[in-house]
Amino acid sequence: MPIRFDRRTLFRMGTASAWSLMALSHAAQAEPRPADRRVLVCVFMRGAVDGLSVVVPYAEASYYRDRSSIAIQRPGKGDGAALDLDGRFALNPRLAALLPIYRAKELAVVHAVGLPTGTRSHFDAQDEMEIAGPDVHTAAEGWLSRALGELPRGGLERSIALGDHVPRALSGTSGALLVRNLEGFDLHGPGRMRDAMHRGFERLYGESRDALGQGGRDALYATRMLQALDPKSYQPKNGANYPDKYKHLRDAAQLIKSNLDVQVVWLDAGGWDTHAGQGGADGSLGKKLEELGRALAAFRADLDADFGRVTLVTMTEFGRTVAENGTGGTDHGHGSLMMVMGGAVNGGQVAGRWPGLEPEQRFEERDLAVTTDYRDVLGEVSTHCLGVSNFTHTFPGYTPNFLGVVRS
Amino acid sequence: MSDGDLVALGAAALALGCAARPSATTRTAQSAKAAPAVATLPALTPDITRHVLGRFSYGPTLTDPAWLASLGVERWFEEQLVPPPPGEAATLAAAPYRRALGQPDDVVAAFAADERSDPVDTEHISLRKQANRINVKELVAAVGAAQTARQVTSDAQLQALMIDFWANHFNVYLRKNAVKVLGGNYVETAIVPHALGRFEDLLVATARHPAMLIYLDNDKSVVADKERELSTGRLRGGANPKPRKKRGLNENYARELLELHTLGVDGGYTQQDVIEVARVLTGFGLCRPEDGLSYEFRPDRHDRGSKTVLGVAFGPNGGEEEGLALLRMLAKHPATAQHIAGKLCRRFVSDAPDAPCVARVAARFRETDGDIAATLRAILHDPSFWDPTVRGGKLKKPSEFLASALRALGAELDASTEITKVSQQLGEPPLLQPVPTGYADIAAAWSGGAQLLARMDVATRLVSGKVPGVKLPNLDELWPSTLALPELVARINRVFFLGLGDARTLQVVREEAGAIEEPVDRRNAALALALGSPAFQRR
Repeated sequence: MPIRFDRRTLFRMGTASAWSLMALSHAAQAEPRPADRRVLVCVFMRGAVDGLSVVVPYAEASYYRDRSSIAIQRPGKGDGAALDLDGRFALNPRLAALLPIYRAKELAVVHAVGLPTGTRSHFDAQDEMEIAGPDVHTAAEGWLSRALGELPRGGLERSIALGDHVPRALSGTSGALLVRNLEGFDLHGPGRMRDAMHRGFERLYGESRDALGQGGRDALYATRMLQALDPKSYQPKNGANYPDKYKHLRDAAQLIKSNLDVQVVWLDAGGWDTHAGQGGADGSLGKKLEELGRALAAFRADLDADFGRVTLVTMTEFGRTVAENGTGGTDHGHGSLMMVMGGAVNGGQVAGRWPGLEPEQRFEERDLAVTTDYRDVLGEVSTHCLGVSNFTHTFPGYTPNFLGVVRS
Repeated sequence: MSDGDLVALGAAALALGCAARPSATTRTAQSAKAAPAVATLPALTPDITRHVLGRFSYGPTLTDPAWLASLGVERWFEEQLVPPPPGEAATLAAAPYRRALGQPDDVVAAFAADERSDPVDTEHISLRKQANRINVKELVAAVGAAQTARQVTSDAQLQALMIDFWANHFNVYLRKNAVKVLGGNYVETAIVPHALGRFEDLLVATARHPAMLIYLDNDKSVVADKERELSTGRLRGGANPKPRKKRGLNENYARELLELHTLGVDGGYTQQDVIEVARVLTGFGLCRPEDGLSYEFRPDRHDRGSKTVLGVAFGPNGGEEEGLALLRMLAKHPATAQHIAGKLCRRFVSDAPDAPCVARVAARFRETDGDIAATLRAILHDPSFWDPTVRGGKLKKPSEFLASALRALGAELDASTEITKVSQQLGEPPLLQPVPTGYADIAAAWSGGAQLLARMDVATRLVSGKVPGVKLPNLDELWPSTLALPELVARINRVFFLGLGDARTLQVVREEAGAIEEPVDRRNAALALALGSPAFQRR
C-alpha cells in the first residue's frame, strides 16, 4: 500500500494555518507514487455501437449484401476502404489512429461479444451489463463496486466516475468519487470568497462527528487534492490532443499520472444509437469513430510510461442489426465488440469465436450472435487490474472463461 | 434590527404579493375529521416550530413561523391536509409547469407512430423527435422544474411533500421510452389527486397509467398461450422476415407491485404469487398505437384462466375487474399497512422509526381503509414524533435541501427549466431514478463526499446569483450588505434556524465571513456558509 495523506492531519493543517495549496503539492511530490499500481479504465459506449462498422468482417458476403449503403469497403478498395487487421477483419478507416497501437500489440478487439440474454432495450441491457447479477431492476450495487469491495478499503480517490452521475456499475458500498470535470471540482463562488468558503466549510464539517461530517470532510479534502493537481495548467505529453467530446479521457490521464492512488476510472461516451443516416466511412458514425480513435490514441500517447500499468476496456450494451434499415441506419441488435487497450494487453488480435454472418448463423436470424460473454472480458481485465478472485461475488452465476486478452 | 423589524419585513414581503395564503379555513371546516386524541400537542416554542415546519413542509420561509403561530399546529396541519382545488396547483408556477403537465398530442402521436413502426424497437425516437420538432429533452427538464417549483412555491406544502413521497413510492423513470412524454402527466393525474386521499385510489391510478405500464413492462405482458400463438406464426415470413419481439408473461410490474408498492419484501408472498399476480394483470395495457398512448384493458392479452394470489381465487374470465379486485385486496392487506406506515414514519419521524410507532400508524392506516390524511394525522399525534431525540435527526434529501434553501432566501424561479441542472448536480433529479425503489430517504444514501460538495457548491453559487433560473429579488432588502456582522449572523440564525442555530456554526460563519472586507461578498459568504453547513442539512 502506498502512503497517503492522513485526512485528519490535513484538516488540522487546514484549520490551524491558512493551509496552502503549495504545501500539498510539495508534500505530494515527496511521497512515493503508487508507480506499480494497476489502473482499470472503463469506457461505456452508451447507445449500442454498431460493432460491424468498427471492425469489419470483410470476408462475409452477407455483410455487403445486407448493407448496400452503409458497408465499409474491403481493404484495398480505394478511399474509404477498411484497414486490414488479420485477413478476416479490418478496422474502420476513420479509426486509423488506432492501427499503430494495434500493430504494437497494445490493442485487442473482442468480436461477437455481449450479453447472454437477448434484450434489445438500452435501459435493460445497460443495467444488466452494469449490475451483472440477479435482480437487475432492484440491485443497489454494480459489479465494479462489488469487485472493489473485495479489496482493502481505499481512499476517496480510488475509484473515480468522470461524468454527470456515478454509473450503476460503481454504485454501492465501495463508493466512487464523482467528478464532472477535474478543473471544475471545487466550489464555484466568486474567487474573492473562495478561501473563506473553503476554510469555513472545513471548520463546519471538520467538527461534525457523524457521517455528514465525514462526507463533507472527504469532499473538501478531494477538492484540495484535485485542485493541487492544478488541472488548469495540465499539459498532455507527446503533443496528445484530445477531441472536445473526450475531455474526460484527458482528466483520466492526468489522474493516472498524478501521485494519487487511483485504481478505477469510469467514463461514458454516448451517441451510438445510429437508427438513421449512419452512413459509411464518410458518414455520421464515421465521424464519431474518428473522435473515438483520436481520443484513445491521445490517451495512449499522453500516458507515456504510465501506459504500462493501465488497461482500458470499452463496452456497449448490444450491437445492431446486420441489415441496414429503411432509414440508412441500423436497429437494436445483439452481439457487438469490446476493445482492450493497455501495456499488458495481448494485442494485435481479434479475439473470440466468430459465429459468421449468414442468416442462419445470426441471433434470431437477424443480429450478430454472441459467442463471448461480456464477463469473459470484464472478468479478465478486473482480475488483472484489481486482483478479483471471488467471482461468485463479483459476477454471481458466472463461470470464468477468459480469452487471454491480457498477459497475467 | 429587532425581532419586530424582522416580522414587519416578513409582513412586507407578504404585502408585496410574494405569497398569498390560501383561505383554506372554509375547506378545512368541511373535511375535518375528529383528530385522534393520542396526545395533546405541545405548545409552540421555537423548537416545536422548527420541528413541525422541518417535517411537514420544505422548510420555513420568512413568514411561515408567524403563519404557524397564528393558526396553531392543529389548525395549520388540518389546512395542510386539504388539497388545493384541482387546477390551482397548475397556476402556481410558470411555463415549465404547464409544459410538464402535458401529454401533448403531437408528442404522443410521434411516440405512438414509433411504436407502430417497429415493435422490436420502441426506443429509436431521435428521428421522430426531429421530424416533429419536439424537444424531448426540454420536456423532461420541464417535469423536473415543475416538481421543484411546487416544492418551493406551493402553500400546500404537505401535499407537495406527499406528491414527492408517492412519486418515489410509485417510481417511474423518465428516460425509459415513452415515459419521457408521460411522466408529467403521470404525476399530475395519478399522484397529485390522491396524494392526501385514499391509498387504494393511488394504487389503481398508478396501475392504469401508461407511464407505469411502460416503465415496468406490464404493457408487454401477454397470456402465455398467446405467446405460443404468436411464435408459431412468426419468422420465415419470406425473403425479408420481420422479426418479432418474444411475447409472454412479464413479471416485472407484478413483482414490484408486491415488493415495493404494497406488501413489502417481507410481506409473505411467494414467487408463485408473483406469477399469479402477473397473470391476473395481463391485459392492463395500452391502446393500439394508432390511437395514442392511453390505458386500455386488452381482453385479447388477458389470461382467462383461474389464479390464486395469497390463497385467494381470481377468475376465471374476470377481465379487468379481476385486476381491480386484486389491487383492492392488496391495498387492504395488513402487510401493506405495515409497509406504508414504515415508510411514512421514516419520512416524518426518523431513519429508524421504533416498531410501536410504526404499528400505531399502521393500525390507523388499516382502520381508515388507507386514508392518507388520517394516517398523517396519526403521525402528528404519535408520541414518537414528539420525542425530543428525533428532532433535527433527518438529513434533508437533495430536493429538500434545494427547496428549503430557496424558501429561506425568498428566491423565485423563472420560467426556464434551468433549475433541473441543479437537481441533477445535487443527485436527485425528479423522476430520474432508474430503479423502481425511487430515491432513498435515509441519511446514509446522501452523505457521500461528492453529494455534500454539491450542496456546498449550490449554496455558494445560489447566494452569488450564479444559478441560472433562480432570482433573488429581495436579497438586498432582506439581507442588506450594510448590516453589521453580528446583526447579519443573528438574522441568519433567526431565519434559517429559527433562532436555534448552534453557537459553533454561528461562530464559524461570523469569523470566516468576517475575514472578507467587501460587504456584499461578506454577506454572501455568511449566507452560503450557513446554507451549506451541516446544521442546515438537517431537519
